[in-house]
Amino acid sequence: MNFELTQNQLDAQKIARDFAKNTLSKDILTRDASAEFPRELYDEMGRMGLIGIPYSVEMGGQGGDYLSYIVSLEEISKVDASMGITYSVCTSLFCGVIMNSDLPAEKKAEFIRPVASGKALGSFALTEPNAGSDAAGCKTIAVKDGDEWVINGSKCFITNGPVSDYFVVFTTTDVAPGTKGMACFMVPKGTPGFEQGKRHNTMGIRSAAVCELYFNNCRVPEANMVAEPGKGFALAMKSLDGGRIGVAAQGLGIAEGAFEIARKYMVEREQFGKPIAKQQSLAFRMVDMQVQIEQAKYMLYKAALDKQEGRPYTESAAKAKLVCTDAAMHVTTEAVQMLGGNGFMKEYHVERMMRDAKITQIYEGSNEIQKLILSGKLFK
Amino acid sequence: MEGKQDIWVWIEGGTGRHTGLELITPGRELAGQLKGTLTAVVIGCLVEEAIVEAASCGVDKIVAIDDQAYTDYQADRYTAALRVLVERHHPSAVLFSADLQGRELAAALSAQLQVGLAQDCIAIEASAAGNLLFTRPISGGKQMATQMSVGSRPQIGTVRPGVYRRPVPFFDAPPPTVIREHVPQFTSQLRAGEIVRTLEQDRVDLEGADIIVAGGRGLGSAKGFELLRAAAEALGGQVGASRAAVDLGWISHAHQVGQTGKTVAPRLYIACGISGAMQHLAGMSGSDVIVAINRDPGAPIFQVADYAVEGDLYDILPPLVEELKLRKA
Amino acid sequence: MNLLVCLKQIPDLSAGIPDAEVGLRFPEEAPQVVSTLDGYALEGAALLQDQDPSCAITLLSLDGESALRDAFSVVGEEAVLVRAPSVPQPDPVAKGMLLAAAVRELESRQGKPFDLILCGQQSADLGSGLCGPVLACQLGRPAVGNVLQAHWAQAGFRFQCQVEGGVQQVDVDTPCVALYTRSDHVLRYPTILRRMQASEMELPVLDAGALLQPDSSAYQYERRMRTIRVFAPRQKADAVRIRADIGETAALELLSLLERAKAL
Repeated sequence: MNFELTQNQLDAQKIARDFAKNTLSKDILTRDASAEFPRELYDEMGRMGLIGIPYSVEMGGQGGDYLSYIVSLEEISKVDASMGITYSVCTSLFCGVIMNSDLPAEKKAEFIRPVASGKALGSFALTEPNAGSDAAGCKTIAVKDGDEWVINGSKCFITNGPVSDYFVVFTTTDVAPGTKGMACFMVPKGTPGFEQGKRHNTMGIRSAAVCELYFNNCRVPEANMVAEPGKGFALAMKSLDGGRIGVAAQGLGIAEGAFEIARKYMVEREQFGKPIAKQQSLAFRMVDMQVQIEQAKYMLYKAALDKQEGRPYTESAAKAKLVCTDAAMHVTTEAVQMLGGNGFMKEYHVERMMRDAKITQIYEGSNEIQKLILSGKLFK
Repeated sequence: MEGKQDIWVWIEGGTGRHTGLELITPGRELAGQLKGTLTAVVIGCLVEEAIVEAASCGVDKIVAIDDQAYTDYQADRYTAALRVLVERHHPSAVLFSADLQGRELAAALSAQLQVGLAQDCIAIEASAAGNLLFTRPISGGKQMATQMSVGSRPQIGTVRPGVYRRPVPFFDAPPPTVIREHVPQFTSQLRAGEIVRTLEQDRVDLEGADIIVAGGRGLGSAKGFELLRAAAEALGGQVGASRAAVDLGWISHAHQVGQTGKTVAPRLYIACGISGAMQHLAGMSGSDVIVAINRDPGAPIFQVADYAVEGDLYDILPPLVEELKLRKA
Repeated sequence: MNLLVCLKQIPDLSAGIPDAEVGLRFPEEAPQVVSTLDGYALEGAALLQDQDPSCAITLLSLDGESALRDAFSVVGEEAVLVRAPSVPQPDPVAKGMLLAAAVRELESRQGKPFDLILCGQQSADLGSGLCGPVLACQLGRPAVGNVLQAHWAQAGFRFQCQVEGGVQQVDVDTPCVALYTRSDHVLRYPTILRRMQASEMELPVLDAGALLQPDSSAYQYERRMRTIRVFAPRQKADAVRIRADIGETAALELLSLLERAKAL
C-alpha cells in the first residue's frame, strides 16, 4: 500500500500552496471584515486550472486526477476557508451533479464547461428553510407546462449564490409526492422569475458569498432537466457524497493552517523564561492535535482514492467528513487557546479559522447526519 | 605584463551626481601599488565640468570624447565609443560605478571585448602578481566571492556606489594630461524617448542618501513619520521605511527600504521601531553605520546594528533633534 | 511574432543553509528554481503573447532541465535543452557564446530569426549580467537593458526601461534582445494542465559545444575572470548598547558616539 502522493499530485499541491501562500493570503483580514468576495482571485484560480482539475480537457477541465483536486483544495483551505468552500461547491457539487446525472455526454460537457474551465461559478440549490437535514421537506415545486417546467419556491444558504452564473436546483414535482417525485434542473442566472436574494451575514467563511434564491413562475426548458422526477433525490445524495469529500478537505486544511500557526507561535512566544512549546502539557496537547490531523488526512485521502478508483465511497466520505470537520473545530479552538490573548486578536488569524470551522460540522450533511448514514450501514 | 598598468575609471559626463568620482579613491591606491597610472574616461557633450572635477580629485590622465552625438546616454553608442578608446589605449583595467548606467555599460563593453566582468564589487585590491582582485557579494549577499582575471585584459569591474568616498578635492593637484579623442560615427539602434520621472522618486533619493532615518511598525501610527522627517532634516538625510509601515499606509512605497523596496548603503542608517525582518535587512545591511532604536531588546535588527538603543523612539528622537538643531544654530 | 526566452537554473537560495566558512551551503537534493529576473523575462513574454495570441514562445536553457519544465508549466510552445559537454565549466562569456550558437541553429531550422530574445538582466546567484549582452553581441543584435515591459509594434518593439529617477521609452527594430529587470509584472502562476504536460514532455537536446568553431574563444574561459575564493560575509562585531533610562541621556550619548565614529 503506497501512501505517497504521485508526482502530478505533488505538483498540483505545490501550485495551490504557492498561490495560497503568496496571493490568497494578501488582504485576507480585510476580506473577512468586509465579507467581500474576491472575484479576481477566483478568476486566477480558474485560469490556473484549479477549478477543473478532475474533469477531462473535453469537458473544459485539466484532465488531472481526483486526489490532485483534493490536495489542492486542502492547500487553499489552509489559508482561506471561504475560498475553499467556493471552490468545492463549484468543482464537487455543481459539476458533480452534472457528471453524476444520466444526461448524454454532450449535454454534460455543455453544462459543466463554463464552470470547469474556471470562467464562471456554479451553485447547488437543495436546502430550504424547511428542508435542511430533512430533504424531504423540500417545497420548491416544478410543474410541466408544454415543453417547459415552471418552478416556484425558495432556497436558502446557497453558497456562491450571489456570484454564480449556473445553478443546479432540486425541486419536487407534481409527478409523485416528496422525494419520490424530486427532479433537478440547471437554471442559469438571469432566467426570468429567478432571483438571487440578499447575502446572508454569517459567523464564518465570510468572504464566501451565500444567499437565498427565489423562484416565481420561473420557466425552464425541458432541455435543462438534469434529473427526471423520481431520480432527483438519488442524484442529490450521490453528489453530496462527493461534496462531502470536498468539505472534509476544507476542514482538514483549516485544521492544518491553524495548527501550523499555533506551532510557530509556541516556539517564539516566551513566558516564564522559555518558549511555551517547552510546557509539556501544551506540547502534549499539540501532539494530540498533530495525530488527530494525520488520522483525518488519511481518512480523507482514502475516501478520495475510493472515488478516484471507482469504489463505493459513501461510507468513507461520511467518515472523512466527520473526522476532518471535527478536527477543524477542535484544532482551531485549541489554537486560539495556545495563542492566549493574541489568539483572540484578528491579526493572528486563528479566531477567524475557528469561526470558519464551525460551519464545516453543519453543512453538506451535518455531522449528525453523517452518523445517521454510518449507523444505518453499520446495523443494516 | 609589459608596460605600465593604466587603470581607467569611468566618469559620467553631463551634470548631476558623478558617482564615478568615488572610484578615484581606490583607483589612486591601486595605481600606486601597481606603479601605474590612473586615468579618468568621460564621454558626453559639454564634459568640462566632469573633467574639472576629475582633475581636482587627482588623476594622471583624462581621456575624453566631447561631441554632440553623445549628449544623451545610449548604451550601444557609448559602448562602441568606449571600445574604440580601450582598443587604442590598452588600459589594464576599467572600473565603473555599479549604478544602472555603469552596470549596463560595463557588461556591454565586456561582451564586446569578450573579457570577464566583476559586478557590484565592495573591494578591489592588487595581487602580488599585478592582477586585480575583485571582492563582491553573490547569492543575494549571503556569500562573498573573490574574482580575478589572469590573462584577459582589460579587467572590468563595477563598484557598489557608496563603498568608496570621493576624494576631497585638492587644489594643488598636478594638472592631468587631457586627451581629447574622436571616434568614428556610430548609428544607435536604440531610439530613446523622454524619461517619465516618477514624481515621488524625484523627491526621494534613498540610494543617493548619506544618511537615512527609517521607521517601522514600532512608530505606532503615521504621525511617527513627522518626527522622523524632523530628524532627517536635522541630520541632512532622507526618510526611509520598512515594508510594514508602507503596507499600513503610513508612508508611500517610494520610501520603502528592503527586498521589495530600495537597496541602500548610506553612511548612517537609523532604524526606528523596525524589528529587522530579513527582507528589510537585505535592503540596508550594506550601510556603514547602523543605529537601531527599539523597545524590544530581542529585535533582530540589533544583530546588525553598530549602536543599539533600547528604548522608546518617542523618548529618544525628540531630544536628539533638539540637540542637533542647537548645534546647527 | 516569435519569441525566445533564455532561462538559467539556480539552486533555491532560500533553501541554502548558512555556513560559517562559505556563507551558504546547499544540500544534495536542493530544490532548483528559475533565476528571479529570468522569471520576469518569462512574464514579459507571456504578456506579449496576451497582446498577440498568435505569438509563439520558445524556451531555452543551458543545462537547466527542471527550470525549463517549470517555465513550460507557465507558458511556451517549445522548450529546448542546450548542453555543452565539450565546455565543462563555462564562464558567462562562454555561456553567451553557447547560447548564441544554439539560437543560430534554431533560427536556421525555423528559417527566420526570433523577433525578440528575452532574458533576465543578471542571474540571482552569480549576477555578472554578462551572459545576455554576450548573446546579443554574438548575434549582432542590439540589447536593451533594464526592461520593465515590452509592446509589439509591428516592425519592432517599444520598451519601458528603468533609468535613474524614472522610466524611459526605447524603440528598437526586430530582431533584438531585451534584458529584464524587476517590475510590478511578477511571473504568473502555472496551470495544472501545463504542469502535467511539462513533467511528461520529451525535451529536445541541442549540443551547442558541437556547433562552436574549434578555435572559439568560448574555450578560453580559464584566461577570463574566474572566482578564486568563496567565503562568508564578515560578521559584524557586537553592537554598542546604549541603555540609558532617560531619553535625553540616551540621545546625547548616541550623538557623541556617532560623532566620534565620524558617522554624522
